[in-house]
Amino acid sequence: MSSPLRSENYPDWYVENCPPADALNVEGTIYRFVESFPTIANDFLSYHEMGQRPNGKPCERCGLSVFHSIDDIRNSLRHLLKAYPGKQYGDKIVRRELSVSDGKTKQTGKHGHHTWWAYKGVTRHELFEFVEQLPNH
Amino acid sequence: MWEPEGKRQVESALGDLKPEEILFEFEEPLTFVCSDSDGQKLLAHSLCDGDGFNRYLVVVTSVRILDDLKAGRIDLVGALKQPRCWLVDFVENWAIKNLWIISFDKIPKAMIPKSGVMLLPDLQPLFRVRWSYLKRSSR
Repeated sequence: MSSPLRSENYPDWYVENCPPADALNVEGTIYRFVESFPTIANDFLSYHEMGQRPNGKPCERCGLSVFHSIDDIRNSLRHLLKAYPGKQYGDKIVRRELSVSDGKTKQTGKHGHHTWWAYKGVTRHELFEFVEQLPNH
Repeated sequence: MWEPEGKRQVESALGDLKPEEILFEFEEPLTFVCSDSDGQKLLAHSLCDGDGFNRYLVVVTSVRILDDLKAGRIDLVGALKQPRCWLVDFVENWAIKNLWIISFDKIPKAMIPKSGVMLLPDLQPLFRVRWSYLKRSSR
């Protein structure tokens, strides 16, 4: 049974009070790093769905990490690949245009890191275009 | 998941290793400070992910090392390469699933940041120039 605090627009497996009340409908470009292009559904499953990142924040584990700026995602991904080489972050950057019907986002970290909580029924991996692949470190 | 060559210890051997100070995070705390049951400061650095757990390298550290790391005077590997190291598999709520004591040299190199990689993306490695080289160059 879904919580009364959870919008009917979101999947019923989202945790309570998720997304947060100050998440915004944003129109514009989002960037995400992935392992595969063309994009596949597995690269767009949340950590909650995959049972990974057990010590991430519960609501952020329900969403997907995205950035609104190409410079922010490049800088963050470059650092993650170098500082955490065993974590297997995807090295390909993809982008798509987000509309208000796709869900909400909120800045949830430093260096432009946002979380995107997609509405129920949104096919998260579709409509992404390839931007670039960062070199191996 | 790679099987460590270190000696397995009971999960509670170091005590509760919950983060006390998060030094860098992305989707989860990736590098943080914690303490063992004797109050010894430890530095934890995320290495890889398993099925429902995260494996961290945990090393003995000091206030001076942490200050140098945060200020960009030393790189990550300089702070992590210590004589006393453990591998810790954390599950939800920082509960410890597995714990090994291990030599730094037994950790696969592919898991360790290379020399010159700093704690934060906006920190640059500090290049030190030998005084003798400067004197020779100025002649």
